[in-house]
Amino acid sequence: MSLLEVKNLRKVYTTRLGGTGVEALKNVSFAVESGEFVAIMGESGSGKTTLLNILAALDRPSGGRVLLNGEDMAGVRERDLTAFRRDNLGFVFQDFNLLDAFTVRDNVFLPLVLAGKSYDEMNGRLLRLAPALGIGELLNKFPYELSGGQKQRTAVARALITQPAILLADEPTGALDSKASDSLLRVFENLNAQGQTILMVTHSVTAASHAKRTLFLRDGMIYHQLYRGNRTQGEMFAEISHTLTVMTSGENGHA
Amino acid sequence: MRKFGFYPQLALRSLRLNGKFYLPYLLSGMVSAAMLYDILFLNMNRGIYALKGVNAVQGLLGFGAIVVALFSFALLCYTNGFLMKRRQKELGLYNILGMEKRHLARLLLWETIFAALLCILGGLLLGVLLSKLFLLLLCAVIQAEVPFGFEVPRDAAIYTAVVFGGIFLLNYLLNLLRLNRVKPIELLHGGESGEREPRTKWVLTLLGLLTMGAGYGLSLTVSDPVNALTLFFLAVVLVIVGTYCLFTAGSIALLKALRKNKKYYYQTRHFTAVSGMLHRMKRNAAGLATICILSTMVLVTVSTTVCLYMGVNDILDRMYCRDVQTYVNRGAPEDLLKVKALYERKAQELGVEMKDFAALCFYAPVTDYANNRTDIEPYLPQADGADPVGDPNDGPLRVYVGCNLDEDADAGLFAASVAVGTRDLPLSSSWYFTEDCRAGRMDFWASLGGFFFIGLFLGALFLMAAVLIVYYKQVSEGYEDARSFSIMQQVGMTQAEVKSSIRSQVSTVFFLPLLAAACHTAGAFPMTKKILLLFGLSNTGLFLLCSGLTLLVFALAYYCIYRLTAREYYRIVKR
Repeated sequence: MSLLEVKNLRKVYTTRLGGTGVEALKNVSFAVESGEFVAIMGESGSGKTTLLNILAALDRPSGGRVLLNGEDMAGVRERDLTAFRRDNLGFVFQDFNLLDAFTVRDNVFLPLVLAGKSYDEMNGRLLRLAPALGIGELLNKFPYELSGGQKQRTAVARALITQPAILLADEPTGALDSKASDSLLRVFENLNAQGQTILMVTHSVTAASHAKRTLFLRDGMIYHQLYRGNRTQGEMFAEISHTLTVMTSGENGHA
Repeated sequence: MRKFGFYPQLALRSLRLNGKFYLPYLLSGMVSAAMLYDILFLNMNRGIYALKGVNAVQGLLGFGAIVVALFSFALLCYTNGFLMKRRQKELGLYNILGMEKRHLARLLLWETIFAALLCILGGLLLGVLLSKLFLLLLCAVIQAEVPFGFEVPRDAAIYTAVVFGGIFLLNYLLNLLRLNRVKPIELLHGGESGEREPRTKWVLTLLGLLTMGAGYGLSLTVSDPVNALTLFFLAVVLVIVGTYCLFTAGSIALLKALRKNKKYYYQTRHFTAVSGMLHRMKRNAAGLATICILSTMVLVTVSTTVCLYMGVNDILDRMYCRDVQTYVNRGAPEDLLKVKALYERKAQELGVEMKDFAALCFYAPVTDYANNRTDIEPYLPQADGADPVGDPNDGPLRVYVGCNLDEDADAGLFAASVAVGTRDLPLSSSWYFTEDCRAGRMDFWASLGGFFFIGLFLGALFLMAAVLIVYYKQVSEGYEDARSFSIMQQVGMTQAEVKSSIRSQVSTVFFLPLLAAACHTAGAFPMTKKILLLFGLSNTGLFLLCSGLTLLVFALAYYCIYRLTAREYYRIVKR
């Protein structure tokens, strides 16, 4: 059984006044195994964000199913959704979404505090997590004192402290410079090496080239997928670029 | 289209777009203008010049007008500063789109003109509509007859317009200063920059504790009513300073201590509330302290004036036991016989009948500090001719002679002729007076009614200011917190938890000033009680009752404001 299964997912946005709807996702099916590092690539408007929102249970699909550990997410009741999300999914956002009023430590603690965990347990988890993310020295600082990379690593720590089944990342390198991006992606690779399942949505070729598998999304459908296999990151970069070129020129060919 | 001009149109549009912020500003401007007009109207109304005892009231009204004007000024400046901060982004955008600062200045000028016109004209209209009502109220509380006719004193309207025109002009100049200081990029990002966490200020905390302690100490230790009156203002200033210091520094120290307590801090309910409050305390402490002080002002003003007014019969009964009375202070028993004979002779001369005649001399503590009158009822049963009643250790010997007259008898004439007569008597003391108590009672009613009226009037104004500040605080915090709460929902906070966290935070911030205000009012109680003695009111139970009732009514009103603004806050945060 796969960790995450997406079957025939459809999402139609209708305007309030009725009329014709916009089909953001047409027929998307894929599966993510435990321990995978998957990147989903696509242009703006390809349905990436919609897909991620549905996976995150922030949005409901119009058709199809999403199974996490074999459990249909549509079956989770509305009021249990928050707890479900908190226990199973970790999120990393493009613009970090840290709270200015909290120190780094408290930002990381936030989901656990909301879950009602004791301080000792939270602290124990943090001490195990912090060195891997390189935020051990920053715990008493406030977000405004951090660089972008440091902020994003804090956000990753916050996502991981609940020990989620899947880490969902939405354009995690979108607001970072190349050096900080690189260091974050290495963190992702290391986490993955320790067994953390990661699903990342991005349109950066560099970011996608760090993943073990890349899915290409176009016009609401999975267009193609690439396995990294034994290829180096550089080779993967070239391969992904090539696929994107084909995708784009293919579009021109159809026209 | 062009006829009306670009800037005026833009100004009108932005006033409309920022309605949520401008409406309360304009409304409160209008109401304060109306209140200023009305109090000036009462001060200048020719109809009530003729009323008895109105001179004292007029002085009070003049004083009230000054308070209203100064207070409107402070309130509108505060609100204007808040509005400008909220609009920095909009102005920054205009700036980047190609409007120079002088163009922005023109835009602001038109906005100010529209706002001023609306406030002044609307305020005058409202004031004129309400003026008769206020006149009726005033006449009712001072027990005077209502003059006929409907007046609109031109001077009152002109003064109001000038005062408010001046306030708006000054606000405009302040806005220009603000505009000049900032750079466009700052305008665009206004209010978004990450804020440093406030440091604990021990010196300020200490200063706050000292001034607050001194203020309370003064109130608790003062024993002499005359001293109480002079020291009252010193105590008020001390407590105001202390409140500001403690709200800014003390609250931060307290919240930091709470955060250090890990068991308390890392609970869903307290976690976000404590950090949120700590984060914004630097900016909000002043607002909270202002709300607290305004609330205290409402409570103290209203409770003392209400108490005076409710106790007026009590005071009158003790001060004016008879229709005509004569006191000889530090007198001798012989004086009693002389004055008694004088009363009898004058009654015969004027052909009036004396009723409830009372003549006694007694040793008495001085209770009526203003006029040295004393309640003689307790002494009457033991009174026996010229033998002194009471304990010589209680105070000096005093002689009292008084009587009631028929309804239609002229108490003024009788009192005047007795007064003339006493001058020809060789009395043992030169400290004596005779008075017409009917006139005294009317005068007293008038001046106490005036106090009562002014107390309620200013209380209403302060209450409006408190409401306005609370509203703006909630709305601005709502916008700041919207982002935090959306993030917290993303990392696993349920709607219910959001609500309970907001409730905990909002209610703490809200009820802290109320609690402090109640505490201040209680602290001021011993002092205000002594000041009331100056007016001859010694009924502590009544004062306690009035204070309690005022507090209760105020707390209810405050709770309603809380509910209303908290709802607005939810609406913004939920977005």
